[in-house]
Amino acid sequence: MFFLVEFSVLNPSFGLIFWTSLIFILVWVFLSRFFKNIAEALENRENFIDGSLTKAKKAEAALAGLESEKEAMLKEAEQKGLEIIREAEAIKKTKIAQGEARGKEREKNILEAAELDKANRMKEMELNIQNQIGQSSLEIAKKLLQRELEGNHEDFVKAQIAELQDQELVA
Amino acid sequence: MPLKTGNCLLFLIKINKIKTLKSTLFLLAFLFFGCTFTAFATEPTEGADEENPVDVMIHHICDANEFHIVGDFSIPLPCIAWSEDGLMFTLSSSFEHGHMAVDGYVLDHGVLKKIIGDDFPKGTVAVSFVHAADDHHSNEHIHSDSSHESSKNEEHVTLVKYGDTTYELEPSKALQSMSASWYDFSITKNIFSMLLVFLMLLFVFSKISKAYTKRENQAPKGLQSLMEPLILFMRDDVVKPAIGEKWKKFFPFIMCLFFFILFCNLLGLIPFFPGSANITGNIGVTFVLAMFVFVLVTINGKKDYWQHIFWMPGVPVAIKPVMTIIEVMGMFIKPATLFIRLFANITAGHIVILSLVSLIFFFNMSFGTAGAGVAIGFALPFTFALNLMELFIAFLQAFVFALLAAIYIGTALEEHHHEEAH
Repeated sequence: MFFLVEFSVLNPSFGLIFWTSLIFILVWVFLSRFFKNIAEALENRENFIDGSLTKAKKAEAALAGLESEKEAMLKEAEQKGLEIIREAEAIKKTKIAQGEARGKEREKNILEAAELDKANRMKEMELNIQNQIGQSSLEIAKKLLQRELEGNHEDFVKAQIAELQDQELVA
Repeated sequence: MPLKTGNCLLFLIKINKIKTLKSTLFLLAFLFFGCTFTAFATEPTEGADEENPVDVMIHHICDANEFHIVGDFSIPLPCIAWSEDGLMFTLSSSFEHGHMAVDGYVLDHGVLKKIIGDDFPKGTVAVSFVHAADDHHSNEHIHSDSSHESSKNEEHVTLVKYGDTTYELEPSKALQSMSASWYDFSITKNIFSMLLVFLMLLFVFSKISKAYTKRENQAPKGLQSLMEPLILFMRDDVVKPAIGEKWKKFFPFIMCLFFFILFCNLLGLIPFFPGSANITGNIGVTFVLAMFVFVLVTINGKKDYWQHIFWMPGVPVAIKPVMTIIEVMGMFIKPATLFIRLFANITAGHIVILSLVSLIFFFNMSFGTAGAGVAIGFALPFTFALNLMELFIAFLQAFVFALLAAIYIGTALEEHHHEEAH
């Protein structure tokens, strides 16, 4: 095995060791920066991806919440609308009832007033008639008296006055 | 090669069928054909006439001072040598593939060596190589220094002849030849490839980093989406579980380690120009990487880590000293396993692939053209399969290295609750 003796891969020269050290130090010095940067960038990216995923999940959940909220609101609004309509209907009914009652009352009042007026008028008319009858009877009485008292009305008046004077004296 | 064309067609049909794997398969096909073509292209020129395939194979795996591309064409790399005589700087092209010596240095099979001998002239001179086995008995002018290790292996000594004098060669100072008198700081093929990997990493990751800043919080795109699965996998399955809370501090280091090794492995699998250097298959490279891990672990070791090494809690006192010895050894064995594993895996892969390709030339030498044809018949599918496996191993070994580095750092940082432990 003579060649093993001169097998220079087992017998590295000092130059090779020197240059290898130098080159590896160069590799280390220059590439460290890059690897640090790469490691950092990779970590940042991983954090970013994780963060984004959780954010997306949160957003999704929030969206689902919003949807249900929206539905609930819609339902509520619907119900409220129905309630309002119902209330309005009730109000309408009471208003109508009130109006009707008021109308009836007014009618009644008017009728009453009319009747009162009628009764008053009748009374007036009665009075007038009575007055007229009284007037007419006075006239007739006057005429009768005139006929009966033709000529001696002086005595009669005197008698009358005397009678009145008696009445006053009695009083 | 009708077999190859057939394979190619079948392959293309498959590619169309499996669209998701399209790009991957294309890369594999590219690697496979590239490998075989360059093997054919480089082998005859490298192993010119008298050289045997084993030498060529070893030459392919080893580091070199020139980047051979095809034929006689290679990319000149700077050669920097430092010795007592001073600094030598030149381009590998000035050696003219070993035909010239520059300031007392030559290229021996693409590897820079110093010529021993003070009287050797400076400047560029023409030299010729002599194999010691041929004439070292008869030559009286050998300029040798008996104290040098290289001369112990007389059987395999390569000599250089200049004029009438023959000179011995001395390799640079290395782990196994500490007594050498000079240092080789050349930008070799491996170092050139590592610089290339550095530039590639710089390009790829600056672009990706920019993309992350620019497209903040957006899905990845293009190159970014190609690398992101790897980055995320390394972060979530390696760095985070192995290191624990303080993973952010060590993330860049583990990632640099992983991608540097991965890119080196993959570049080593490409059999032609930008690739073909056996970077992570060189124990020097893996050793340095493991040393970084060792230093980081040692620096960051918490009280609990040292306590577990020097006075293991929860075991009988009699066993404690034994544990200390084992644990102290373990401190060094752990990074050692790191670099040996990576080096052995990658080198083994390269050797197996090269061996299969070399079979063609062995058969050619023994049985002529027909033998080579037969060898091509079975070497090609095997090479293809092994390339696939190597591709997997390139990823696997980078991952294992990074994972174990992370685990070692993790244990150094760990804080136990001793009451219930052990």
